[in-house]
Amino acid sequence: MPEHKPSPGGHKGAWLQSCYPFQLERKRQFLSLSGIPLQPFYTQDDLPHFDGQKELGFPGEPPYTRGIHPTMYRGRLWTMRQLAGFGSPEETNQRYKLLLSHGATGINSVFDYPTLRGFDSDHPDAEADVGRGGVAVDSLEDLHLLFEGIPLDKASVSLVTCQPVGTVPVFAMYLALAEQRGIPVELLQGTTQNDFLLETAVTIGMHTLPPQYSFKLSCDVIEYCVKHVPRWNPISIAGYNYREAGANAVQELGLCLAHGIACVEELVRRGLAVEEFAPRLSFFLNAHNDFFEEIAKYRAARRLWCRIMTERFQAQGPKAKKFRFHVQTAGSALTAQQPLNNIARAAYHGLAAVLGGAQSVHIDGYDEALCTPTEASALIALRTQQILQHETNVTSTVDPLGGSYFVESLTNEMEQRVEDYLGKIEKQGGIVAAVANGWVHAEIADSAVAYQRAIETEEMLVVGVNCFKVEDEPPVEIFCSPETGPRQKSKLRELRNRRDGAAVQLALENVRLACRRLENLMPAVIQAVKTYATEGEITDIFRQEWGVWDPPLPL
Amino acid sequence: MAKSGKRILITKVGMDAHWRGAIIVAKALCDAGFEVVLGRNMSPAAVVATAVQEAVDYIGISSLSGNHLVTVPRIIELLMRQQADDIKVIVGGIVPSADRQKLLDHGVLEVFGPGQDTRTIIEFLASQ
Repeated sequence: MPEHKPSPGGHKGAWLQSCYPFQLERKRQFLSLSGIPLQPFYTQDDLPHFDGQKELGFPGEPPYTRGIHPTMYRGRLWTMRQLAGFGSPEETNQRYKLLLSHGATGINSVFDYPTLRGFDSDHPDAEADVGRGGVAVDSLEDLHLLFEGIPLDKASVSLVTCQPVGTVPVFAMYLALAEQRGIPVELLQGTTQNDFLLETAVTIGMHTLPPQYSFKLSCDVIEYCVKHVPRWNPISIAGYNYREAGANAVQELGLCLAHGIACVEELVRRGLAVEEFAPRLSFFLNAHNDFFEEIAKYRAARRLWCRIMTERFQAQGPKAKKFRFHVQTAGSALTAQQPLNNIARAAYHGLAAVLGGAQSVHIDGYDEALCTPTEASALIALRTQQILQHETNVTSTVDPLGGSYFVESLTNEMEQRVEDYLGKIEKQGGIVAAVANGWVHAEIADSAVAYQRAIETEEMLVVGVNCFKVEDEPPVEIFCSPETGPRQKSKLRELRNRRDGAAVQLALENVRLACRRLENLMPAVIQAVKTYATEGEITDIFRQEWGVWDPPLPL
Repeated sequence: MAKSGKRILITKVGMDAHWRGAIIVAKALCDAGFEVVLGRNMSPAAVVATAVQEAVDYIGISSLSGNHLVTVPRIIELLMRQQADDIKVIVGGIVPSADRQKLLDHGVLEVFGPGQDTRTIIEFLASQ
């Protein structure tokens, strides 16, 4: 591990050696959460070849270390995008309206486990999870209910369709919904998550598509959007979830950027120009406990992406080089013990995201370690964002920590370590190969185990978990998912009886043909959802044609 | 590491996709000398079939999606039906306290919540 060595003979080095009382320190070593050694203090000596103009530039200018816009939050505050989704489409629609009426500026629609994985609510393996962790969606009719009264041409809607297998049919339904409402799809603004690692490496499930096909589907969505839905963000590369599964900050960003690189290579291979599609790639990062490391991560991410796009892919225009990202505060850092403490935790996480220049933010509900957020906890999370925006005054200056010896050193160190990690991924043959051979799974699992060990050895303290515990905590209100399965099932039964069966079959055969010819699946799937083919009927064809894959679980 | 000789199947049921806890517990038990079978997401019937086939002493179900009140009683019922109820079931993950009691009433041996020290789980199983 390379340590920062103070330059010999420099003022800092001499002072540290002769004057700094190391014996009075509380710990033998101070490390960041990802293991970067931290010094007692930082000076100019820690930035020996630092060229402010080259490494920082001005806000809104390459390499975008200081932010992707010249005005940042002075011009436009970040989008407060609170996740919501549970039970049936009708119930989730009410939660959207509640959040919007309280000042949320975007919708973040989260889907239940079966929908994410491409299963209908009446699939035997899906039954127990219908309406859990998100909203259940089976057909275009459900999309009508979910977005009833929400102006699709005005609202920015993030569809948290984590996996490509679910993104393709659900996004197709969203496009068909817009068309049926008479809204040109060119006007639609929003995001689909669409990350193949979430299908194959991070949130592992049943009947998983092989990585290369999952990746193919994600690129189909990107390609389709670039050509037809130009204001949509077709992918949100979800470092957030890699982190939640166990990755540290370096791995989170390294895997994210490697995934971005793979997308660029594939789309170039498909004949698209970098300038055409790169501006539509977006990212999604975690805000975890190590405050400064997280800020350094966001700053390093912008600089690295700008460098990769410029040097590796010869991007010319600024838009292709800007690392745009959403942040969610770390659910894995929240505790089930003394859950109200999570309000304080999430506020610090949110502050790091904002000091790091995020474009949109979700702050977690305090009950995240216990259940889907209750209405009360969802509102406190939104209020925490509003307090950040309107009371703390952190929005008045762009990149307020820029130029701090410490933050700049940490940003440099993060950049270096992520570059090294990218090298390791390249050695595996790139991200798709690294998933297929189980390397990514092992990397994430090892870090998850190390994190747990640090808690159990008390090397890392977690309030309420391994210190400052209380016995007999008062119970908190728990959100109960409304009973959803039977209702979705009867809607499905009724729909299957009512729709034009021959039209459905014909449309599904076209999906099959597109699979066999490895064409872009979006056009055939859009046609299929318009016949009210269900999500599961469509993804069954993917699995039949491409097979399923057992993710290499590490032990 | 001393062999405990005890075998445990660790898995997740249905579509529940968050594997972090299951992997951490599986690795900890492995290090403590348990023979661990790590199963991928399964249906309750497949859990029972695998447990019987692998001749495990315990089934450890990790639940984060909240499906445990549906799936875990079904597993226990199937174990009984196949006269394999000498295989004991433990559950870990995000289990609200009201659910915890219900699971214990259904015959679950123990429920471990979020933030649980893996050593507590090891000690519990070793003491059985």
